[in-house]
Amino acid sequence: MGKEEFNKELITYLYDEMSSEDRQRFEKVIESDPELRKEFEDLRDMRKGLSHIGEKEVMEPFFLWDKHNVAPWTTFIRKRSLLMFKPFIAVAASLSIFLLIGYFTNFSISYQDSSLRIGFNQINNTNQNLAMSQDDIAKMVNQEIAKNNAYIFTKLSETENSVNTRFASLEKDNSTSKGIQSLPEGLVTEKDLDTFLTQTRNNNVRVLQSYLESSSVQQQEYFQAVITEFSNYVETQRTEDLRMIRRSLLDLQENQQSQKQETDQILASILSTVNTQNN
Amino acid sequence: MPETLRDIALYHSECLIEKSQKGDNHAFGKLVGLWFKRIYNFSLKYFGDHDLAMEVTQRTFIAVYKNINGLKDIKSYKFWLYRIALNQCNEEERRQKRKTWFSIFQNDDAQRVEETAYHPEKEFHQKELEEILSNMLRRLPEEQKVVIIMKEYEGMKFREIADTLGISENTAKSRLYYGLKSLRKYIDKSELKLENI
Repeated sequence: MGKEEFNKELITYLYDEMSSEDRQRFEKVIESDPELRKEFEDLRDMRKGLSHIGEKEVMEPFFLWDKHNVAPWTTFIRKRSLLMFKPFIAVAASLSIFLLIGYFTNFSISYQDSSLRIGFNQINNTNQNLAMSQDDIAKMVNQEIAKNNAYIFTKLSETENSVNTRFASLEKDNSTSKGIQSLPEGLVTEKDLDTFLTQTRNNNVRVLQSYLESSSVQQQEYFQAVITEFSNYVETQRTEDLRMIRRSLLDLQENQQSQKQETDQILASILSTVNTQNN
Repeated sequence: MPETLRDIALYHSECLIEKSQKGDNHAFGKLVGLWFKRIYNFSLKYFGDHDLAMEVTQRTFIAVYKNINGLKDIKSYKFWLYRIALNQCNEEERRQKRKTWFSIFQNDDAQRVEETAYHPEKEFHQKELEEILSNMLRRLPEEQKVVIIMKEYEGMKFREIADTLGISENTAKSRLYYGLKSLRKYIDKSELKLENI
């Protein structure tokens, strides 16, 4: 048996792919020759050493499936090819945004007469209007003071008018309610008293009526508020219940998906286990 | 009908591929779920780097998604999948080499391998041992490394490896033999005693 032939047979024997007959024959060959046996043992030990390089666990990529069942891989591929141009796209986009803003705001930069001017709209190249004279400032201040004075004067007049009106109305009220109070004690007649009592009674009736009306309105408002609140409570409760049902359904769906994933993982582990066992 | 657990899992994958070819994205998602760990671990052993392995695994499944309708013989999907993964690994390796050429830290990885190889006695624990062996595996020529990963960790038969790589069974065995021999040499140089592991 030539050396090359022996090497191939050695490997076939080492990896247990030899028929039983060939196996027995080959075992006799290596038993009879210490050098060949040594070579076999060297490679067998090497295999043992290699078995120390274990399998690594790894998480597979996460997939997102949308409603329209669009292939995530195609988007992934597209994204990857786009990634190459990402820096250029970023620079171009920044420049475009800068130019666009500049265009809309009439942004301009100019350099003239040893002065750099940056501004929006058209830059006035003449220097004469850039600074204001003392007279201009004084005029501006005077105008503002005049405006302020006029405003204060108007407000004062309005307040004065309002006070006068109020005062006049109070004076009038005072003069009408003088009737009974200003009468001397001895001059109060029975008729006056009856009139006063009737008037007071009428006033009381009016007050009571108005109290009852307002109380009824308040009660109505209160009932309305209670009903609205109760209706809101019922609506909130219903929404909460619906949410709870939805959550339960989602949980159910999630459980179903995780069960599917577990099945896939079991199959994947079967593949790994079988491959390792084959060694 | 499938009888063993392995057959059930493989049959399930075939059904998923059939559905994916008809445009069922959920089925494709499940297929990714089934094979993601396997392809990731294949890539991880190829590069020994989590980020690169994740990158290659994602690229592999993107390529699978793009070309799934081109798979005529659904029963041979496993070889097809590993072939795509291997192509993606090769592409990524080329990309990494171009990056390393510009990097001031080039040969850092190789240096690290040397360091770990010369001082194994300081790191004689399971995790370190795993790292040392992974580094050694990565130092192998690409064709030997791939055969070792497929045989040792993916549990493929020599016939399956040969079909996936488009080589003969004898070539696959030969590559595996020389790969294991080279690893043994690295181990002997590092003074790490396999018998003590």
